[in-house]
This record gives sequence, C-alpha cells and structure tokens, in this order.
Amino acid sequence: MILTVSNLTKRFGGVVAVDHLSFELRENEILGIIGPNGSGKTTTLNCINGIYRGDEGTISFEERPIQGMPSHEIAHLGIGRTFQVPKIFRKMTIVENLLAPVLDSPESDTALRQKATQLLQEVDLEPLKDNLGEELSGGQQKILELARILMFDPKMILLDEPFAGIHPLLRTKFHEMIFILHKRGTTFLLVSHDLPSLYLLSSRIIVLDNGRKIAEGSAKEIQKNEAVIEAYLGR
Amino acid sequence: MGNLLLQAILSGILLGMIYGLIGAGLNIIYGVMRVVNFAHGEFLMIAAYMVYWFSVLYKIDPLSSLLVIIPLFFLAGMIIYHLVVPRLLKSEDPEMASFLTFYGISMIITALVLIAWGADPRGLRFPYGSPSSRVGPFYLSTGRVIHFAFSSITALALALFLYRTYLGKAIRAIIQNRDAVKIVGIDPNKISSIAFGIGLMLVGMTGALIPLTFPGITPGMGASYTLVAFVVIVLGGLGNPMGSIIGGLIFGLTENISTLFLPLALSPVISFFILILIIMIRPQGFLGGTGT
Repeated sequence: MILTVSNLTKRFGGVVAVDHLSFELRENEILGIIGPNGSGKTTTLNCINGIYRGDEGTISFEERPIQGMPSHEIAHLGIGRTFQVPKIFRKMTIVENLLAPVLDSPESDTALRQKATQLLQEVDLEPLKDNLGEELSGGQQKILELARILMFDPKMILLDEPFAGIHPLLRTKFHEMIFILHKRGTTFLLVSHDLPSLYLLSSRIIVLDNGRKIAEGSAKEIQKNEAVIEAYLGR
Repeated sequence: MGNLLLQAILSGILLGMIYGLIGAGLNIIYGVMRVVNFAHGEFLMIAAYMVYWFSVLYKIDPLSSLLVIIPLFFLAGMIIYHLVVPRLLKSEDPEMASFLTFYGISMIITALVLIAWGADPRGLRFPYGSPSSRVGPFYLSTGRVIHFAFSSITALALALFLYRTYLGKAIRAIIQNRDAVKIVGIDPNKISSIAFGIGLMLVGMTGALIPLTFPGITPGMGASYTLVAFVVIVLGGLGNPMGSIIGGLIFGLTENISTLFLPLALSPVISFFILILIIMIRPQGFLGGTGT
C-alpha cells in the first residue's frame, strides 16, 4: 500500500469533520472520493498533506507515519496536492510558477528549465509561459497548479475538485493528463463532485457522508448503493 | 527658482534611493511574514553607531565597515527571527502582536543605547575628501552621492536576486502565497529566517552609511527612519520590495521639493500627509502589493 489511513478523526470544536475514517490506496491506483458538501472530503486531503493534524488515527505513506509532519516535508516524500481554488503565484510568470518551488532540487538549472518547458508543452501552456499567473483562466490555473507539482515528480497526487468550473475542453485535457501520469506510475486520490469524470477515471470509489465512509467499491457498485443514493438525494 | 528646483530634484533622488532601500528591507520582512518590524529604524541606528565606533576606535571608514556590518546584520536577523517571529506567527493577530513586540524592542534598543553612549549627537569627520562637490551650478553632498551610488547598486543586486535566483523566486512566492509554498516543498521557516536576515542586512547597510549622509547620530533617530520606511512601503505597495525603491524616490522628491514652497517647520508633517493621502486614494500603493 502506498497510503494507509486508519481511524482518522478530525474535529473542529464540536463538529466532527472526519469520523474514524479508514481506507487504503494501492500504488498506481486512482481512488475517487465523493460525498455531499461538508462530508469531510477536503478535510481528509488536508490531513493527508499536513495542512491539518488529525485528532485521532494514523496516516502512513509508503509504510512511514506522516501524521503531524509539516506540509513541506510531506511534499518532499512525494505527495503533491492541488486545490479547488488554485493556489498559484498570481504575480509570477507561468514559467516562474514552475521554477519557484525547485529550491532544494539537486537537478541543474538547465535541466530544471528544460523540465519546466517540457511540462508546459504537455499541458499546452508553453505559449503563455511569460504571462502572469493571474492572467490565466480559472481552468488554466488548475492545469498550471498540476504542472507545478509535477516539477518534483510526486509519487502520489491529491486532486481536490479538479473539474469544478472549468471549460469542457480543459476538463478533457485534465483527464488526458491524469491518464498519462497514471500510465507513468503516479497514484491519485481524486475528490470530485463531477461523477462522470470520477466514474471514468477511478478504479475504486469511496463515499463519505458526515465524515464517515458509507460505501466503497467500483463505479457500478457505488451507483447502485442504497446508502449512497440516500446521502445524495436526501432522506 | 529653476536652479533651486533642479537642486531639490537632485537631492530628492539622492535621498529617495536611500529611503527606498530602508523601505525594501522592511517590506521583505512584512511581505514574507506579515510581521511589522517597528524597530526597523533602531536597527539602522545601531549600524550607524557601530560605524561611528569603528571609526573612532579603529580608524575604519564606513565603506570598509560594511564588510563586518553586512554579515553581522544578516546573522542577527536570522537569530532574531528564530527567537521572536515563529511565536508571533502563532498568535491570532500576528500583525498586531508583531507591531507591539517590535515597538517594545525599539524602546529597549533606544534606552540601552542612551544608557551606553548618552544623548549627545555624534558625527564623523567626512573620510573621503571634500564633503561637498560642485557639479555645474549645483552643490551635492559627496556623502549622499556615495550613499546613493551604493544604494543603487544594492537595489540592482536585490532585483537580480529576487528575479533571477531560485531563492529569490521562493521569497517572492512566499510573499504571494504562504500556503502554496508549503505544499510544493518549500520550508517557510527557512525562507522566512533568510528573508528576515536580508531585511536587517539592508537596513544595516543603509545605517552604516547614514553618518556620511546626515550629520548627527543620536539614540532617538530610529523612530523617524521607521516612519520613513512605513511611508515608503505604503507608497510602493505593501509586500512589494522593489516597489519600495519607487516609493522611496517619490518620498524623497516630494520631501525635498516641498521645502521650496512650504515653511521648513512643516517638513516633518509631509511624510504623514503623504501617508494619509496614499492610503485614501491608492491603498495598494503605486506598484500594487504582495510581491509584484
């Protein structure tokens, strides 16, 4: 297993955002997480990449406990992350966005620049490389955010609502990127409300409701699950 | 009047670049950490005193003193960061907490210097030939010209550092989005301590050359430079280090030109007036904020 989440609980005051959640992620798997708003999907990602520290439970990446580690150290282990609202460097150029995080990289300057150019070509942003981040559309910013984490060759990528509010053409581009990276061996944990995309990409899906896992299985199994239908359509 | 105006413009540019560098140091610290270093002027004052004592005790001139001042202030900045700032950043309102803490530090520094060296103004004999030189119809302070040249080179080096090196890019990145740098593997603590070191190094460099530019060094001089630094960073854009240079030039020019038309007694009021005006009409500063 590349990631093991065991009994994870995260509370905010009296609100239990994630409630004794356990799941595992195999190497080179694409695992989808769905659930209604407030079901604990983003909080789970935030606990995995060190933005929050869980109150109970353990998280292990490649058999190594990562609970409580700072985000930058978790990134160094090989976990990349994108956000629903992309956190790009808005006043830096597109190529600078890719080069800003490479401070500790052992690669040479030339190699890093070549890698940045190649990544921008792969995501069709190379012609805009000298534009500022803030000049990109929301969808392009999401693509840029993905390209930025690829600079440090992550083993696992956490994607938070990558398809929300983006143009269908960009969504297709995003699908394409996930397929390519998956073929290269990258593992994905994908949180999304875009069920068709999730069904297309994920080999397995877990469903959260009120911070708890209520179902787990393939897309077909999830679509027929009574508890899932109830959570989505209301009781 | 034409010559007087040109003379004021020249003086304004010379002083403006110096003010800009003072502001750049404060702006890097504020931009990276959102920490309000209200003791910025006092650190400048310490550098000025150090240069004075180097000169009196060891006959070392201000430019040579920089060889000691630069690494010393950089190191002091990193140490102060680790002692004070991480605790401030954990508070609910780091800006207010840092403002109060550094205001306290400024009072402590002033009091200690006052106890150690007294309140009498001290000054250096100008060590580099004639203290003023005539260029055409204009008289220029040689000290200010030296300080301007040094500040210009430093500002250029700072720009190259921030825009051409990976460390500089990381500093600009953290100014723009502190959360984003963490998730891409940058240690914000490491960058912040370096940024604090750079901020103090810049103000130390300026302070070291202050005895060439202004006649008297006193324990109370820091507060006025802190005020200048704040006006300059508001003018140039909060969190925009290179904007401070523009802010400094605007401030220096306004301050010098206004003395032609306004009574000298109003001179200290000008900085407050500019500060209020900018906050009212362009609160993001002339070049925009956060790491442009």
